[in-house]
Amino acid sequence: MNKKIELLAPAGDLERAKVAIRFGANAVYLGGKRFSLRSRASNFEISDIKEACDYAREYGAHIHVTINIIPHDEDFDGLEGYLKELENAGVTAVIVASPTIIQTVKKVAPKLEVHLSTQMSTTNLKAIEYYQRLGVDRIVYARECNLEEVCMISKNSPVPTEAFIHGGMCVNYSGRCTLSNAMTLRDANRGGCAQSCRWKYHLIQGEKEISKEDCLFSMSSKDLMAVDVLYDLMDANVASLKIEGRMKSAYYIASVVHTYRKAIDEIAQTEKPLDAERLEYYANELSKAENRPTSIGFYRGLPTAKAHLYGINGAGVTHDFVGVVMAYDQDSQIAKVQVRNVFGCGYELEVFGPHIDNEAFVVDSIINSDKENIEVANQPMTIVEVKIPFIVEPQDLIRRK
Amino acid sequence: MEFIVTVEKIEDINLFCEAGATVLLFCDEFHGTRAPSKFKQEELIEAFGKTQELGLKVAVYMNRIYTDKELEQAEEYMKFLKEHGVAFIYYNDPAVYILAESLGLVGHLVYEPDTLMTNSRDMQFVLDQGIHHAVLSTEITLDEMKEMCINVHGNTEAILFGYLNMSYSKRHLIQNYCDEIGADNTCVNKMNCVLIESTREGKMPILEDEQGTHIFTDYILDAFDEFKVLKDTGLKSMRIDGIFLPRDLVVDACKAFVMIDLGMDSEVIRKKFEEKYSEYPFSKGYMYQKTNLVK
Repeated sequence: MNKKIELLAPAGDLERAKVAIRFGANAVYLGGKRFSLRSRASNFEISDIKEACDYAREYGAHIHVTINIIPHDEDFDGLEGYLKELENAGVTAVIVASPTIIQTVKKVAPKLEVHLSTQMSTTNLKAIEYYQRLGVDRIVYARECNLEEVCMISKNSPVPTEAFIHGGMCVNYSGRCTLSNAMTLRDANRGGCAQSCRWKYHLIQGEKEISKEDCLFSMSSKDLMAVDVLYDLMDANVASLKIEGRMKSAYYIASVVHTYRKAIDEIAQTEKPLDAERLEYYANELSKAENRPTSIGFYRGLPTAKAHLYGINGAGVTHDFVGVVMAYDQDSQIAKVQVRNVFGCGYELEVFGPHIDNEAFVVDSIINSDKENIEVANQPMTIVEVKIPFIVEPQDLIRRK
Repeated sequence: MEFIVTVEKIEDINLFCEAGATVLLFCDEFHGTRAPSKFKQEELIEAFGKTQELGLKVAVYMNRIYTDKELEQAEEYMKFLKEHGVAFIYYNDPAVYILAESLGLVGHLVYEPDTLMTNSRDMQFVLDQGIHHAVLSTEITLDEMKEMCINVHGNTEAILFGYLNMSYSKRHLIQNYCDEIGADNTCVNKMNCVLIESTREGKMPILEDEQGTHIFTDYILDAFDEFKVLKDTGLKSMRIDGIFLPRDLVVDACKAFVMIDLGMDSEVIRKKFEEKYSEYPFSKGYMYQKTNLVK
């Protein structure tokens, strides 16, 4: 069993990278302003990436950078210099989807590991053999692999493997879709995916409409949630477990990373699969983040209708993120809290953080920055004082049911 | 110039030969997908023989993305293809390349990874591995195609006619949808299904088969005018993909390209062709349209 399996989290900016690391990610992947998919979530300048690397190092964590566009000839300008900058910044690995970029990394920035992106749809050992010859250091599976395939490959693969465990799923083989290109002129393989698969369509056969007006055809996949198979993945020596979601909030990152961290650590300690009660507990914990509805993806076989969204695409959020602890005075038990969403006196809130699990308390008073008692904290990013009857730490997060 | 045409029926082979095709592209029931039809092994043997008797080359789709279990069948199939003198094997999964090495078939491979062949350098990389040629992605512009043809040392192919594949899902998307709404799925392996986005009018062919679900453009690419330009920049092979199209239209398209190759005016030929088949949605696709927006 790989007890030291890597928990790999996404980050759309420096704040989220730090949150992911603080909440237990062993590595964070992020995108620079060029060469990366999810370009709207790629806000990292080299200076930010260096800061993320320095921060990660303090926690024994690593930074991976996505260079996972399917490049056109015009896209290579500046690549070599960028790779050298990443290497100098202390980046551990780049996630790549082009043989040319793989070769360029090996030539100009050899300290960087090359991780083959899921865009390359790797589903078998012979494909891994092919990419190993190119010098690839890790393979990210296609999300179309089932659990049996992932376990068999990981046990026999000559290079370490990485599997998705949580987050959004392309309904198509990643990288093999140009719906967005056709419908919006936004290149799905160069950071512009408009998620046209999630739109509504009439399905017609011959002259007859098969689709129903009140529930049109759609190709929207539920998000992946794979806590059920964590034990199997660890037992199969998968090297890294990946959470999708560079567009997601800091609260989402914290909630999801924290939950998987605890689940992985529990499995590593017991060396047993999670029982039904613990699985339910972790599933509940994950539902506190703003997920879209979830499914097990391909891990238990081809996804059925239950793994798709046809009507409402909304999230089933059970908790709202309301604040961040900025400071805490143990003598007075007063916490300074940065308000993120509304809460008021009498609300039952829950604190969670790297060293605290879901401790609940009832708000009995709120004092604003003018030292006035207020009933409701409803001004985002302002600092208020709240009594919390147990020890909390700066950057712990507060949520309400 | 190789004129490559996909084949729906064995009885059409003569017609394509007469139209000037030089390579006929077939698809079996398991290893290939996104073809006008799928042939059983005994039908393939007949088709290969007939094609070769006419002096044409045989090509096959082997564009499945394989699991390890399926690769055993892949190896057997490749031995079968070698035995029957198949000239070109279109592949998508690099596992096929590894198998081809051990079977001495690398020189027969044609790399067609759909969306991934968008630049000269990646194309040169795969060509340098000894394969016969690679296929340009369809979502690139004419200028980009020209640049790739000029830059690359080796053989290149472009799909210049037909509906273009836009997406490939391993999921059985129509089956799942029918299950959701409680309808019978009558669409499997059927060529008469389309999607229409709810705010638009274009009809996008959708095909569900054993390998998953495939969606195509709401237009038929007809790059008659661009063909000569590409040939002049070094394009060695062009394909007419007849999926979802009637045989006569595909035959006429093949004749049209051959005539252009012989020096006839492409504009005249294109206009005549589009007039004859005026009910079809022809387009230049991405030839003059970049798709590099991100927001």
